[in-house]
Amino acid sequence: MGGWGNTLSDQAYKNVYDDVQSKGGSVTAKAEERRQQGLGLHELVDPQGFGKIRISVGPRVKQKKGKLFKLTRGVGLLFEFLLDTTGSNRDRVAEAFIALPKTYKLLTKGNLPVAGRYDAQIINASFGDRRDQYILSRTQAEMDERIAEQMRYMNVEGQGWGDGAEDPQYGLFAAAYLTKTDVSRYGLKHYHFTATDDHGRELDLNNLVRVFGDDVFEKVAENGYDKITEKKLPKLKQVVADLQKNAHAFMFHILGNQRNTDYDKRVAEYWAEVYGAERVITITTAEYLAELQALVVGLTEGVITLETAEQYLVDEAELTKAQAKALVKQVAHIPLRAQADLPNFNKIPKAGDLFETKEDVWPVGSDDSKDDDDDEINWS
Amino acid sequence: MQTVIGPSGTNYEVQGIVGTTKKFRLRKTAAQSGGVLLLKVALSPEHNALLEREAYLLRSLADTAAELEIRYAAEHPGKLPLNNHFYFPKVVETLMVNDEGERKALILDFSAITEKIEDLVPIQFIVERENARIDPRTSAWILGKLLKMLVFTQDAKVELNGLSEGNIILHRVGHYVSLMNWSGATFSKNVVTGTPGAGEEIAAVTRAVQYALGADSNGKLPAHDDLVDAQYEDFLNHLATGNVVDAFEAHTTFYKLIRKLWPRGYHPFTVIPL
Repeated sequence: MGGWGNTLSDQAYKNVYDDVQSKGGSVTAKAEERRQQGLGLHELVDPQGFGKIRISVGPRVKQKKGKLFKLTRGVGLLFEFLLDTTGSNRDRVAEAFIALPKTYKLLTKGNLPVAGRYDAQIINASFGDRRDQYILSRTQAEMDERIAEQMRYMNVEGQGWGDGAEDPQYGLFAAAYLTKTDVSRYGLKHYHFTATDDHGRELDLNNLVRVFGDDVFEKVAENGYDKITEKKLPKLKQVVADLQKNAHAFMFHILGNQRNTDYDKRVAEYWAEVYGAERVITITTAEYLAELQALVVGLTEGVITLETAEQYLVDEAELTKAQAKALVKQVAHIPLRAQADLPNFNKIPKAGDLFETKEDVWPVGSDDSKDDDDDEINWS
Repeated sequence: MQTVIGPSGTNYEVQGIVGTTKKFRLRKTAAQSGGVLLLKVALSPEHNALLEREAYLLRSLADTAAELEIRYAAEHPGKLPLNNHFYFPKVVETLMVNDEGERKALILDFSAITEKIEDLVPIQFIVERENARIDPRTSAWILGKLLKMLVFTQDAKVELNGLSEGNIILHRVGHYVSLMNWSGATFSKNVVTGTPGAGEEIAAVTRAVQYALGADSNGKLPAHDDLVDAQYEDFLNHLATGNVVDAFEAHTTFYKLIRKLWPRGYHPFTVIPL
């Protein structure tokens, strides 16, 4: 469960990075070792581990004087990154690990942290193919060096299998139905990003149970989704629709890995149907995922605008103007200010606010207003 | 008379209302720096994001039009410029209006195609206010320019979502055709050549022109001396099906037809009472 501890400092990341290097340089060596030894997924990344439901809360610390609890860093805001690790995508976890300082900095530090008013927490997840030994790895929601450390246990089998689709649907299922966030209590949404170059598939009951365990439906019901049963599995489109009720969920469609433009087109159409075209971002390389994710968050939070986005990337991500321009164009179609325009956006508690209990939604002293086309011209 | 000041320090004198949508108000505006200006302001802050995207999209189109113009001039020396920038207003600047919440506004300049904002009228006015219809040769230059606009916008992967007779505006004397409201436009692959979306846009502009021609619900055109047979009517009906999914091909074929039917040369904007 996320919500406690420090943040991901440069030193904390470096400690993990140096340890990775000292042990041969493979980010997921620990996961490979466990698989070879028949130990299975580490509990920290096993979708069945730690009660299955991933929980993200902003830490509240009991004050030494008085009985109130202080929100130390702001409302917890979860960012989940679900990565395809099949075939040509096999290095995505390693790439994400290397990019983690940049990802974290763009979200929380610098002159314009796009999620600076929140306590940013990260879940990393990776998916493979149904024929893999382990289809899904999913870390806990963390905010410090544990983000990096848990990535080392993410299973990467890297097989292509060549069967015309991969299996992100279990990761999306977990995101939609086995996630609980602080920010949703205020009517705001967390962020979910998936990156893949191929189609997905519908949920399969046997694989769902293989990934999440026999009691998956009990857990899903415990989290408020009691209509999902083994007889009523949602279609992938419904899974994503349910995810989008609680998350600004986006699909990064990576072109070109299939080396076939017709295939890419079919994959693009597939994900546009599942997510809605405005939430599918087409990219030719995964090199700038950290920057693109920050852009999406910034535009959704209203921290940056399309007018300021290029300069933001030049200043904060140290890109050239040409690179910045190209990236902004890739995301210009997304729903702008989708978070900023939510009713309670300007009312959420901030760092330093005091609460009667750890569980209270609103701080002491706040009032109880818990709130939260076709556009034709009429000519004069 | 209200004055708003832009981030550039320019004072904009906001004048009469030109039109209103559910989300925006368009007001004639003047500035010492000149231009034929409209202030487009969100009616409430929830629509600010649409104006933000509109400004970005229009500026992006302006860059694309300028780049294309340079390439075209290099590849076709001596030919007339493409003038794709006529199809959309220039974004002068964006600003915030601070009464009734922080509302975004754009200053849009139409001086590329008109000296007076009043000279830009939507197709809708011809039928509904003037109780008239256009003649076939007038419709030809209007549709020709609309198809050329789609060649540009579809190549730029911009889906227009505003191809109605209330949004297609004309300068009758200058023979300019443009769109007034770009807030529904978005970057999208749905309209690239060969897609159903491309066909739908071609159909939409054709239907707007058929409406202005006084066509009935089956696309039958009123009799006119310039219509000696059904070729023109049939071609418009063909475009209106949405089955033609290549704007360049539609534009080329259209011009071949009208050059066969009618002499070249300037044909003044002509209407016939209904």
